[in-house]
Amino acid sequence: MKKSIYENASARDSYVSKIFKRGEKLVKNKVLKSINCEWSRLHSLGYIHIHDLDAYGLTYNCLTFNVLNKFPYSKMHNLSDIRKIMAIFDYFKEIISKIGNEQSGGMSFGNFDLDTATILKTLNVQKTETNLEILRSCISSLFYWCSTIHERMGQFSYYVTINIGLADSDLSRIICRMVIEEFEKAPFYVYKPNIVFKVKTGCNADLLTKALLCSAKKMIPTYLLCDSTPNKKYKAVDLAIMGCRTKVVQNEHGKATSIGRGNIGYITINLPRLAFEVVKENFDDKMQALKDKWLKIAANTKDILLDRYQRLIGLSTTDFPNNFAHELWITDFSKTKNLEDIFKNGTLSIGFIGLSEAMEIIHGEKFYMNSKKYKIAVDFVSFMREYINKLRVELKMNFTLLASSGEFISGRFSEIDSRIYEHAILEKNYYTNSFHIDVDSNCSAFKKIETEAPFHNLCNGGCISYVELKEAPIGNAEGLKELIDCAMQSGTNYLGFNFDKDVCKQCGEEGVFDKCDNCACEDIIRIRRVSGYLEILDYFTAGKQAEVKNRKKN
Amino acid sequence: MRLKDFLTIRISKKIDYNGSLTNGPGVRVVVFLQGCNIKCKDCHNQSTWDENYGEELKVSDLAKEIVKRVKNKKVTISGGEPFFQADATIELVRLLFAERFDICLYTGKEFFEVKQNFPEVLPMLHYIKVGCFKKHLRCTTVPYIGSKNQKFLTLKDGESNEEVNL
Repeated sequence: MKKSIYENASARDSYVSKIFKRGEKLVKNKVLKSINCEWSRLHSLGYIHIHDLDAYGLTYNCLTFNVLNKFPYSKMHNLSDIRKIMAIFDYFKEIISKIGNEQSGGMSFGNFDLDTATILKTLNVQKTETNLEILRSCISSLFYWCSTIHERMGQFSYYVTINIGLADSDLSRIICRMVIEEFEKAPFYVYKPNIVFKVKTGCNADLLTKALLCSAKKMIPTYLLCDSTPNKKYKAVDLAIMGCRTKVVQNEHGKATSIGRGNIGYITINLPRLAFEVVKENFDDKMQALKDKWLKIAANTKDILLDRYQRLIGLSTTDFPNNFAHELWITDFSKTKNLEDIFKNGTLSIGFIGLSEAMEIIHGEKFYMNSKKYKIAVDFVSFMREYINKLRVELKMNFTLLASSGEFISGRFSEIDSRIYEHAILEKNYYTNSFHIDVDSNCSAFKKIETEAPFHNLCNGGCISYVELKEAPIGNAEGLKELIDCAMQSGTNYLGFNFDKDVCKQCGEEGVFDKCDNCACEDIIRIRRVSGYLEILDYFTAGKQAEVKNRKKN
Repeated sequence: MRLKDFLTIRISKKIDYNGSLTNGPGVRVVVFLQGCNIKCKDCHNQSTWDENYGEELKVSDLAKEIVKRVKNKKVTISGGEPFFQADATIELVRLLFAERFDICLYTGKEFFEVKQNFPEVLPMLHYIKVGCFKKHLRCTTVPYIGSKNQKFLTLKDGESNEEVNL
């Protein structure tokens, strides 16, 4: 197979995608020319990365569907039970497909088990064996569709996240169980959607065990820890993960919830670049200098986000016909003339990458190897968060601090910096995501979780900790539960488990190998996690391919 | 001083206190013992066979170190063949059991052999993996075993939770 390096791991080529890419390039250049030249300079020189540049002023990023708000019950009431069930899932696919092309990022179902049960009950669908079998097939079919469709912009699959785990009735528990079972038994090429299990003490312990056994095979679900320090002040039912890690909860303009809200736009700041400058310019107090430099960049970043927001709300509700038709936001499009009433509920996020490298450039050692340096690192992230809080209060806008997922930028920033600077950390060709400790750190899973936990309470725009395992922990729900408990107690917001998963194309054998252990075939598919979603390794971006080579196990 | 205080045990490599999720339920620290008298064909751990390699240390010291460093008290004793150093292995199990450890043991012997020859060890174990590795029965889908003839048993008062050929 011809290998090409993609900018986004979920992409596949097509005629439409080729045309799209040409247009996208033109639009990006046009946007860079249309904004303040200092802002374009910061982006082009790699101080910051303005994500989804082509969507600048044209649309928002992502959304957790307020799916019960205007569910089209009336269209379904007269159907047979079987048709009702199918119509519900057709509707889910319809909104994924339509909204997915009207925004730049992902979509999420905040309480898939609870909400689907509510819809079924409202439609008076009986809980017969046949109906449940149809329901199961529809769930399974949705997963195949999410994994294989690649229709968005003629090249991408949709970024879909399904939150489950709070099921509170017989039917919602059945749905929750079906989601886990259907994902677990699906073939290897079904690796989407992202499934998030919400862990709440005293709630569905049996389903949690089931979910953990599924993760032990498939790396999915990941776990939103509702009782941990960053989350316990909210109702679990109001919390949801959107996409890879985006968290939208706090709200300056109404109810604090994830449902019916999303991120408007985000920009990632390249921390290692600032650290290189601090060292080069030989400041006495290097951490203070880093903070000063960050503040200057962050102030520009804030202005870019505000400009983007202003352009967005300057559009008309008719620019969002599908959002208008389906009313999936916290505020209805039909009840407002002004897009601001809707999009003010969205977040504007300032993200960061490479805390680990930045600290190493300044201190000459890893921040997590030394308690003093560790404190300095936590202090720096607290400093960033304080600035964000200040913006919230002063501007009455939902600014958040984001532990960015680094799919494209982990390679881009490192590549640009290596043209200017020489340093050992540039040899690996990628930067470590957000506050993560290095993928080759060799520290225990417990230690990694505990070390990263304090950052979770600071990154209110979303973050995740991953445990890198040597091999699939098949059957070991008890072990994964120990890690969940450790994460919950140490204050982790969101936890995922990663391990290498190679699948033989010939016989389907799974494991970690270059040549199949079973049939010696060398045609191997490598499934890895990138930026929160599972993907096939050949389609990884250059930076992520370099990082994957270096991943050592906790 | 009792004789047992001088008993030594040979381990195959530095113990990885980060723990493993593939050597029994839970996050378990695995102690690989050096020396094997079973020597399954196609064993993936042949470097543990030769009784002259590895590192020799006092059982009491090893137990102390494990008690100090394994916070969740879950340990798997593997090999090599643990019963190749039966006295030392049983002493190690005894010391860890006294500290209320959850102990799992990986042996190439069959369950009935362990029961006949080392009956005192079974009541102190939480789990035991029995049976030698057979390549033609290789298996990656059942937790904690390498080939289908092997059994991973949960023990209660030294008795297995499932029927085992005696």
